[in-house]
Amino acid sequence: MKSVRPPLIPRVLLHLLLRGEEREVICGDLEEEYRDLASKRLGSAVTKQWYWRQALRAVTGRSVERFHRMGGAVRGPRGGPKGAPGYTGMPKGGDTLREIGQDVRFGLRALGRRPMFTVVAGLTLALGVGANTAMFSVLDSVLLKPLDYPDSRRIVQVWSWRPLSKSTLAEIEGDVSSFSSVSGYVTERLALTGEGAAEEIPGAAVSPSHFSVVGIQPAIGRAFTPEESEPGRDAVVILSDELWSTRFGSDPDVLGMSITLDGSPTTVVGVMPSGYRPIVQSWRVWVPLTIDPTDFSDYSGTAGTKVLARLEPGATPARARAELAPIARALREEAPQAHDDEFVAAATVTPLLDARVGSIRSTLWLLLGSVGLVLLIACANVTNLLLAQGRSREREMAVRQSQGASRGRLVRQLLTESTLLGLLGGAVGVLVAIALLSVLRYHLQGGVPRGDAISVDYRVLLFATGTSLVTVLVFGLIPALRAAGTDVNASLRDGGCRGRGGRRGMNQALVGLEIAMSLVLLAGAGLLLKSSWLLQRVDPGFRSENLLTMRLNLPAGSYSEEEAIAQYFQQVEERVAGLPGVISVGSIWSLPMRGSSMSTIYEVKVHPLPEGAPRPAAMAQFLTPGTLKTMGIRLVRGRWFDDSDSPEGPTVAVINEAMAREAFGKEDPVGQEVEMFGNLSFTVVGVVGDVRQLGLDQGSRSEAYFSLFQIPAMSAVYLTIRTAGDPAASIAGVLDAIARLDADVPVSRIATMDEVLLTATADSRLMTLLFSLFAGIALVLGVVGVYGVVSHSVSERTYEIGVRMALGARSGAVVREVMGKAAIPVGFGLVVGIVGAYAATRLLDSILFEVQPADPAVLLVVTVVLGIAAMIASLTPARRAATIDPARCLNTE
Amino acid sequence: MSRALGGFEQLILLAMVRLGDGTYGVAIRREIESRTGKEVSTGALYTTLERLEKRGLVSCLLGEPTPARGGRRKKLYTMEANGMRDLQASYRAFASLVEGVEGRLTLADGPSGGG
Repeated sequence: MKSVRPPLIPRVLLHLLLRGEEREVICGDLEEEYRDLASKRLGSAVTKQWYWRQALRAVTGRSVERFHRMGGAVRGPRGGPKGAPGYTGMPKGGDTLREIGQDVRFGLRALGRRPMFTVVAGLTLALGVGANTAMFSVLDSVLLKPLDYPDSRRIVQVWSWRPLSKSTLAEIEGDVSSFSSVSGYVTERLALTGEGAAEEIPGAAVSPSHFSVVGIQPAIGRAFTPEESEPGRDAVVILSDELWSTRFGSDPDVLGMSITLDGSPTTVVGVMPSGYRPIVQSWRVWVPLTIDPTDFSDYSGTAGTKVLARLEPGATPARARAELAPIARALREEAPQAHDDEFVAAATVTPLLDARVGSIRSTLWLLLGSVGLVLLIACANVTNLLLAQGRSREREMAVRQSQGASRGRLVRQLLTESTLLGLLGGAVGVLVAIALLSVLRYHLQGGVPRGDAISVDYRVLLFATGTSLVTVLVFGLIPALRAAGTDVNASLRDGGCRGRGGRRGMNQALVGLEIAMSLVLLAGAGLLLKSSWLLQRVDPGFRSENLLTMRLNLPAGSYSEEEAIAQYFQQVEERVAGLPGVISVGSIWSLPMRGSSMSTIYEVKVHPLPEGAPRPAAMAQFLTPGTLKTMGIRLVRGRWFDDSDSPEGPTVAVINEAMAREAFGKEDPVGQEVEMFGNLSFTVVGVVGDVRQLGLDQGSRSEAYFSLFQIPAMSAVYLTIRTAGDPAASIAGVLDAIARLDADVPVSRIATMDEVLLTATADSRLMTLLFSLFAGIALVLGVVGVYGVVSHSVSERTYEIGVRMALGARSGAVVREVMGKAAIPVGFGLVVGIVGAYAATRLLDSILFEVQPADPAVLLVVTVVLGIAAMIASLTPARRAATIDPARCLNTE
Repeated sequence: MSRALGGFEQLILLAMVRLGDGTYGVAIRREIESRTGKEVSTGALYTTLERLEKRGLVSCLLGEPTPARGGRRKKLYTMEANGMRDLQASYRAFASLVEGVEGRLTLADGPSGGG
């Protein structure tokens, strides 16, 4: 029995609102009963509910009772201004509840009397709390919430997402006892034809145990059987609920139905439950992963099977990893070329959640940290506002104290006011958070794992309430203690026109701190902006404007012959090229920035490498001759593919500049022989400029190009179409031409190349956007802070300045003097900020592109911008100081 | 001064008659709940007991703290003569109203048929 104590919140409630004997007896009864119910194992939820209910009824019932009893007292004698605590008519040690009510009412009235202050302070808090809540929601949904699978913490990814051979999969299955089940998967894009338009559907080939690893079985039908992994018996498929409803109208007779997948008839054996989130979000179909015992290529260590497993209860990833190590060592001994050190080091076991969110984790914490700075700035600002307010109200406090209000009472009154302000800020902050989240969710959808699951939930509300209450304590306590410590006599004597310099130290320190934190955020934003700008200037190696792209996937059943594939590409390009508005057409296997790539090791004939030495690798790209002109790739030397490069002719390749440098140095590569794909020999006929295949931020790598008309190795390609005008306007015509040629070829991923580029840089742009947003808020808050403090110090020093002007001080000197004083904390903040930025921006290193974290130009620019903004902020109140009418000020004494 | 007892007051006093002298909140509450099948609010119970105490119908004294109550004391209640008198008066009124129609009332299905 671990927790027999009743829930905390109602217990505290009872404790606060009941008193004396009544509290003792009622709390005792409820606790006794609670323990009794808990020991009967009624279920903790039922027991807790019971306690809550009882506590709430006790509290409300008692309060109403008491309210009736004190009846007249509440509406009692009206000695002084009504409601103000501390005035007459307050019985000593009066009812707590009534006093709280009074404090709240008085606090609301006090806030209402100063609408400017309330709005500025409330909005400042709302921005801070709202931005934090939004950021925390993202962090919570992406990093903290467990995945939607039963016992999801036991699901692990094996070997760092490295593709393994199926034989290695079998070894892991047999040798690692820490896993209760192991499964392999290969992502697939399958063509679904037959009823309705041909469609390419993302999915996976999975081993039969996949569904027990994930812990979720099909809602209708069954999972795959082990026999269905055998070639020839694998013509079965499991559908997602969404595919079942959109494509098959949720037909209850779907089980046993035959559908056409990749051109072959396939039987539906199951439908996954609705709301099921697959391991890879886009998957909508599952087919069996076949293991052919007679296919030796499958056992050579080159196949691309990724492995997922479920840990035995009580087993740890570390233990499983120790069991993987012998398998990795054996593989290395068998085939050292294929299994380098990196491969052996990658033999790890990672919880699935960590594996999926890995890259984004540090980024999100970084964003939460920066948004935390925004909240600190907001708090500092509000504290300053309250301090200033507290000073103006010193007289008010003194009057109350002189009329008999205790210091404790005044502190409580001021704290109530701050709490109200904090709650107001928190409530508006939640609205700000919801608005921010709707923007964020839209931007995060594709780029961030689990980005679609982001929502505001009760934990986030707790976080918001927590931050806003902590904020309240931080900024409420200091001014309250100050105000209550006021010397009554001094305040009453003092006309309020003279300055009390010592008090300003606190404000100045806070302003300095605000400036410093703003500078750190601005530096971060500046670095990211520069990085984004540099990224946009990168030459991708092709011309992206007026370029339409779409993916064609030839169903394997109908296009199994290489000739048929080559013929199809030729025909589709001819037909599309004949459409109005189309300038040229090409087909490329792996569209730049779209992810997939393939590598081959190569060897230059004239420079043979010693036996056993590691071979260099190049990315392989397959395309049709029309692609060079269509994409605008630059031909540097030699020639491009032409009609002479047929399957019958000598095999030729074009290489990029990076490969020419790597393989041939200063020699001319044209005419040289290179061995690739094992022992196939290719003649290099030309060199082209580097294309940023893997992303704009990835450097150029060696790449070899092959003609699809000579080696029709790929049955799925991206059709690229250069248009004279808006590429989107050509989509309908192109689709029509493709459908007329063969309606069973699914078309997917239709996008202009500009859109593809935008998607590829979405992460970096989102990060820049968020950081700029936070830094912008910080800048505004920092400037408001400087303005507020200078402005207040001017009004405090009205008397002093008045005297000096009466004695002949020039207005220019007054302005200089006021601004000079303001410059001290600002300058101090800038210096601290530069040091802070220097240390903190290092955290951005991994996401910066070609910018050093401590880029001096960026630091200089943001320091100057912030300095000028602070000067402008102090200029207005300084000017006001210079217009003080000495006669008027002196008359108030 | 005898004022007519309210329904809930009657229930409490009846439960106390059943439980005997020196009973306390939890026991009274359980007795009423188990007989009527309705949940009783502890807050309301004590509000009513306080009222009965003020009218001199019940008396109470504080007991010893027990660990089961988180170290808190119980209030032990005993029925006073006035309480018994008022309860008897209520019962008489009730019985005279029931007289002659018992058959129709007992036909209604009562889960425990208590009393």
